[in-house]
Amino acid sequence: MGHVGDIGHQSHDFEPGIAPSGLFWTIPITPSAIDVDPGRGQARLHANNVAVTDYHDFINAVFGGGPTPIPSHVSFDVRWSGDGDRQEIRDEKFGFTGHYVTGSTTISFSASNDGVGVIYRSDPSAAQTNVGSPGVGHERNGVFFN
Amino acid sequence: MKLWEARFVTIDTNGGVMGPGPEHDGSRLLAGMGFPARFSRRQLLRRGAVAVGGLAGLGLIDPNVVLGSAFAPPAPIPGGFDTSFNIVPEGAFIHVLAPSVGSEMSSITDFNGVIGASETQGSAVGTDGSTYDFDCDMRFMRGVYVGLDGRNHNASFAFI
Repeated sequence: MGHVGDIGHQSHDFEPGIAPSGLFWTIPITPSAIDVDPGRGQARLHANNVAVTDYHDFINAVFGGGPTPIPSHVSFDVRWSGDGDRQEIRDEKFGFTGHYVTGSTTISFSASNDGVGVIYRSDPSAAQTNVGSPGVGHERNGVFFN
Repeated sequence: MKLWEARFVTIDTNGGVMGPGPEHDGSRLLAGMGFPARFSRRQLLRRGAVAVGGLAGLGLIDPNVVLGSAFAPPAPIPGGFDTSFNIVPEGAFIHVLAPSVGSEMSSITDFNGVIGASETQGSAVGTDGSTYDFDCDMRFMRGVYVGLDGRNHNASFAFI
């Protein structure tokens, strides 16, 4: 499958929002939502009924001015296989370093707008593809970079 | 989690609508992150006029539900995309980079811990019979970070 990306045809954009600090689409989550073996590059991120907002499309999510965002909930289960290469990275320009194990990932999810009966689910019978190189590892950045 | 009408998926990053050139091809990277590839600087500027109000209205879930009252939010990474969608190591307007090994996958800075990141595309169906293509950029971060209060904390985060 190619890139999905024509803003004119995006229908839903489920995200936790952008904090006033600029923190992007990131929320605290219970530790039990993460099962990880960084040495093997295997991990699972799973949660049920997480409150998010449906911004309809990316532009609306970032800039506003579009359709009224809709309170929504999502459940997801992401799995990292760790079946790829090991990589050591130190990036002086962006200020991070880490060692990672790449590998394919899969996701199953459901999402729905609050108060609306329609539930959107990933199709388990359809193929999934990854963009770039998914990975799991240890990382340090910012004041922990050096 | 992004859902697109299934029959209208397009591939079009041509025309230099974003970014100054291949060496800083923000449009390509954005498309690879599940972000829309087809919008122009004019669109961005027009929508950017309401950006401040839009951002101010966005909120995170109540962290105390997960972490208790001592929770201090982390700071975003300094890098990401500027207002012209160039990739920059600091001074970003959008504080995120690609969920791919080789890129800064963390969305929080002053962080020391375990991370996982991925972007997955596939198909989705609605209970109303509708069909979609989806793109999910999903990440987690678990470890020590310096909160906005200037103190070290230990917590888990999900990027959805």
